Amino acid sequence: MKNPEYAEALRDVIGAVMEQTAFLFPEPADLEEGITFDEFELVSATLRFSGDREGEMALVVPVGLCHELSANILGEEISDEINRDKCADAAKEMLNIITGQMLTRLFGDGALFNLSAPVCTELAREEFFAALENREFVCFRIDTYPVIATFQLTTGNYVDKGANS
Amino acid sequence: MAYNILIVDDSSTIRAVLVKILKMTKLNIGQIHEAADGREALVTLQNNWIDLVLSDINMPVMSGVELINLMSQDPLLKEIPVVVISTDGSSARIKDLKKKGVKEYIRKPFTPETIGGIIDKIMGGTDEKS
Repeated sequence: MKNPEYAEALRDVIGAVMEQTAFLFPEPADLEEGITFDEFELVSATLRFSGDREGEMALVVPVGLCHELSANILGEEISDEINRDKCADAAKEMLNIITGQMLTRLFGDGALFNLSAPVCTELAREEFFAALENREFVCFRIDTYPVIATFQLTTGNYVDKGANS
Repeated sequence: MAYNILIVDDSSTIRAVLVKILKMTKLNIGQIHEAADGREALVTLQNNWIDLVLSDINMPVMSGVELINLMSQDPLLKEIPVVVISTDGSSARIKDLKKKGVKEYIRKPFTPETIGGIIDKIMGGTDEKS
């Protein structure tokens, strides 16, 4: 993570959203210190935003955690059968909420953004992890599952929220 | 009197959560309709009696803003109360939507208490479940 303010915002926002919506409690983790995604089937959700700033957020989550997320959001027991459509929908909605909260946190409620509908795609693992060098990202562990979130501005510079509110 | 409610959100998870919350309110609920975008919502509005719309903003095909704009131009549809439930936190957008007649704006993530309280307030709380 190159910008400590982005890192702090991402950690705070993801922690709060996961807790409030799904009663899950992410613990910060480090990609270089043992956290690995190799053994997990992953869901990758991405969302673009435009307006006062332009950029993209992504959330990469193991299918097993998406299954748990979906059940927790709905207040249901975790079933043995994994419904991949429900998993993808839960990942997309989490990303949608996280992005909205993240943009307000960074740029204040005076900034105006248009968010695209989130999409789930098959993760090109090698390309994704290679590209992290050029992206802002944070890693978490939720139970035994690793989670990674990326945030990237393509236009505009960071300003503190007081400038826009 | 039972109220018919339309939920508009591209997330099936959020629609399911809102259905659960609606069933927990004091309100006498009739039919609950669901739409995944603004265009589907318009079709439902044209073919059914709806008393309240709960709508997201960021959706594919037709956004919540476009849906609200079209509803505000229709003499019948503009009378239906709309509550926006969105992740968007822009004060300018909230102000603009309220100018267009949106009754309340609820930010995601929400609690069942927030949704239930606002719906009870808007619908008057007079026709409660027995």
